[in-house]
Amino acid sequence: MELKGRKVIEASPEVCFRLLRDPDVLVRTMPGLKELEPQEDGTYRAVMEMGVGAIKGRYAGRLSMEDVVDNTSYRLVMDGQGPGGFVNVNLMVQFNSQEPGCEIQYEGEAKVGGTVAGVGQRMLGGVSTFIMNQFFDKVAKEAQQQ
Amino acid sequence: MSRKLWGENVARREDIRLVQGQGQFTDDRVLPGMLYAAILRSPHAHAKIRQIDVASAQKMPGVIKVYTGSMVSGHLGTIPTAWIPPDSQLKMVPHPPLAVDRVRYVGEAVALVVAQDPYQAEEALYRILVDYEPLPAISDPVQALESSSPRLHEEAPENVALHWKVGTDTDEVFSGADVVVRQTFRQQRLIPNPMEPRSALVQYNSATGDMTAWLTTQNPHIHRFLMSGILGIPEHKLRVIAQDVGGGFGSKIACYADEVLTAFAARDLMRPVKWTESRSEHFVATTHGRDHYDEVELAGTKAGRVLAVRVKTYANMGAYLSTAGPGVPTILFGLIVNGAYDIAQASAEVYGVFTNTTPVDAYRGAGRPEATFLIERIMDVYAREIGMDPVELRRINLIKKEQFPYTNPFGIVYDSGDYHQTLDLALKTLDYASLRQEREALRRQHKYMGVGFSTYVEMCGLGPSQVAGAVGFQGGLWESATIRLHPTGKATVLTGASPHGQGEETTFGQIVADRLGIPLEDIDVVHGDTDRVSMGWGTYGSRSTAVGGGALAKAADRIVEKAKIIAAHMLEVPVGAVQYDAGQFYPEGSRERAVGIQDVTLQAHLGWNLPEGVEPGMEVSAFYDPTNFTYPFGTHVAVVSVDPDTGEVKLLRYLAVDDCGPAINPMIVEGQVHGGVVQGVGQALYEGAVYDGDGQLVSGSFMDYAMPKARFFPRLETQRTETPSPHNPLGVKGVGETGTIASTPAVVNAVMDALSSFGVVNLDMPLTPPKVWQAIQTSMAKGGPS
Repeated sequence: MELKGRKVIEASPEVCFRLLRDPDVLVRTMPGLKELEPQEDGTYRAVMEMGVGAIKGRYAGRLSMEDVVDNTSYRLVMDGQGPGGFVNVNLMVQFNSQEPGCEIQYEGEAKVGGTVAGVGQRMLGGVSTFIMNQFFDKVAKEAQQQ
Repeated sequence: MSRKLWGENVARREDIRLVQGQGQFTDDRVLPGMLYAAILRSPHAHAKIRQIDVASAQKMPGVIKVYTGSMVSGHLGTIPTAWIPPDSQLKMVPHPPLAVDRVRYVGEAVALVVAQDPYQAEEALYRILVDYEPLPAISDPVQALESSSPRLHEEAPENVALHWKVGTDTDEVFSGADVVVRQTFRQQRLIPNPMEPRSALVQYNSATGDMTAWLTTQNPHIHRFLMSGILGIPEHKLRVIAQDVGGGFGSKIACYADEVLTAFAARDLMRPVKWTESRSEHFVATTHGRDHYDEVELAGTKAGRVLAVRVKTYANMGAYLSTAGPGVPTILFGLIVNGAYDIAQASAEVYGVFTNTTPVDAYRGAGRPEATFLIERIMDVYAREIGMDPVELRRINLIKKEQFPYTNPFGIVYDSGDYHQTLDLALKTLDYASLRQEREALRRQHKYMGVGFSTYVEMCGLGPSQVAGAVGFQGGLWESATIRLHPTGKATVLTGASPHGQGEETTFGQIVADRLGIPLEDIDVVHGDTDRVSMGWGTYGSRSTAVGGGALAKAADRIVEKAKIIAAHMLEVPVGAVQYDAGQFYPEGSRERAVGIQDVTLQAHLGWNLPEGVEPGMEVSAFYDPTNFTYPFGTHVAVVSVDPDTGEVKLLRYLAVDDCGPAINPMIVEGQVHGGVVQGVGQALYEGAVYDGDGQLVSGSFMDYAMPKARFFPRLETQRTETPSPHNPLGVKGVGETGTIASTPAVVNAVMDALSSFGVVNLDMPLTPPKVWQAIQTSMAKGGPS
């Protein structure tokens, strides 16, 4: 499944970049993200609670930010496994300066497998857009508090 | 002989317990101390298993034990296939019950949890940590043959499971023919979805070594045979029981890893263990059906005489070979691609291909729907090419009544038939001429109606054991029957057939009641228990009544034979002077002196005064091995309308004229036709399993997999003709699969007829509104309807 979108937030690219790299902020803002624990190798151990249609459950896995260019971009790589199967996300995130602050662009791919693919795939596109919007709204609020 | 119940619409005796909720399905059964199993299934279509960590699952509340592939692999055999078609170069790849280091389809079993209750077992599944290394996956059988495609098995380096050719050399006919039509067809993958999902309950007695397995199976004796080998339990120590089974449609033929694992755990833990599939599991873990790419060519004259047909097929086998899997796209398909037509030359070439998908096995009709679809569709393509009415084309080419027994180009001998009679009856019932006029009139108003025909024949009543052996089926196909008359004249009838919705408790009762002249309520038909029934090969391939019924008729005749000797003794007349009619034995011309079969049976049991050389008791077994398959046939007609604005196809009328020989219970025959037609229409219009590019099944629930619903159908019209099978003791032919075989092409032909003025020759099934709408749009862009 393709993931693609953009959002403009009233804060500088530097602030947005910092917020979106901060595990505490991510746990507060990302719907369903319950834990994000830094690991020795620079990745994070992540626990998410997600529900798509009838498939609800706890997904555990790894999250890492790769190819990091400070205040400009990084690639978010996430692998999770749960009762409904697995979710793999590979997302390029870019921070561009744009009035009145920062345009965040994301583009990439999410792969789902197992029951979540068999039962929920048809709804996933809509669900992911919905989740991303919720996420960015919360990030925008965090940015205001800065 | 009087036939009091033969031909009567006797209400199904099994329904009384079923509608009262007193059926005994496997999952209904509860045993003291019973544990529950759940199976962790691969979410990946193709992956290496690096590691499986069960430590945290093992600590979950209620968990008794967690099993992985490496724990069971030394103690269990692999899951075998039981059909090895000769000259097919079949690659018998190993299929471990639990994956050890690699998974090859979404749904493959990876671990088994046994817990105190089913919820604990399910919860613990998600604590099992499997470290997968995903591999590229392939789900399309044609793409899987490309050299760049991922490979599934070392034993099959090209992903080719089998390559099989049959038939005559057709090249010369094709090169010299006036007309050659070619068409490729896609026969999409279907998911059987019987009402009852699969289930297994197994109990092991460690003191005696006896194991009892309650299974959702169509063939308990085949399951016993295979499971005994896989588990290493002597056959006489393993009892398989399939009491009530809620439909199978072929999906409960196969021996699955799930039931083997449940049995293994029951033996290991020395506690009864039950496993029941969820509906979501069913979508990925139970065998699928069809999934062909076919290239069909037909050579004929301009006057409509078919000279040759040849077929090249790519059949998806899934990731492993299921029990009957290899026989379905070969023997049950290739040998009958000429259909009901007198075609001198025909050939079929089949590639069976491994892909990262759920294994494919028999699904209602198994191979014969696929063959029928091809010939019935290409006949319509040919008719359009030469500008002939498809009915006229069929009339010219159908095998004529006087040609029976008819040997087809593959050496198969069609037993009997009057194909034109069913066609004529269909045309008369429909008033075909006025239907065509109506179609033309509607067309002038830009309304699109279509009429589609399918004049089918199928090969069922499986079958002669000698042929089974010759075509590589690793079993016999005969059937057994035992009739046990108790001292009071009541009867227990045991059959090796294993009905699971077909109503043989009723129809077999009717056969015995008629032959022995005892009331139906005095007869119990017992099936689906390997300890009670000596042997049987089960219910599939429309064989139960043709073969199991044949055995039963033989057994009944033997009862009468023995009773007659005792009756003669009682009547003090020579055996040759005794007449028998409807349970009464009497001296010729003196019916008033008759003794009833019940009295004779009592004397046989008492044994006080039996004729010399006659053994006491009244129990007879018979084994019947048919000399040929049976060949039901008929004409099915679909009338549809297509809405050009939405692409929606509506079934306006459906007529099935079938000839399955004489009907023992016409109501049950009609019920079988209804169910079969609905399933076949499901393929034509609604159903389809869809895998994405990563081998994920994206149609894994009833929200995404469209099952046919009652409201999609008009009242189904049924008619019958009766042409007995000359070799079957009852003359019967079988009717369980005809509806599915005939209806799919009838409906597609009707839709193509409706779309003919848009220049549409073929669309891939299912014919969903977007697909039909798109075809109309494409035609409109080129100038619209002609």
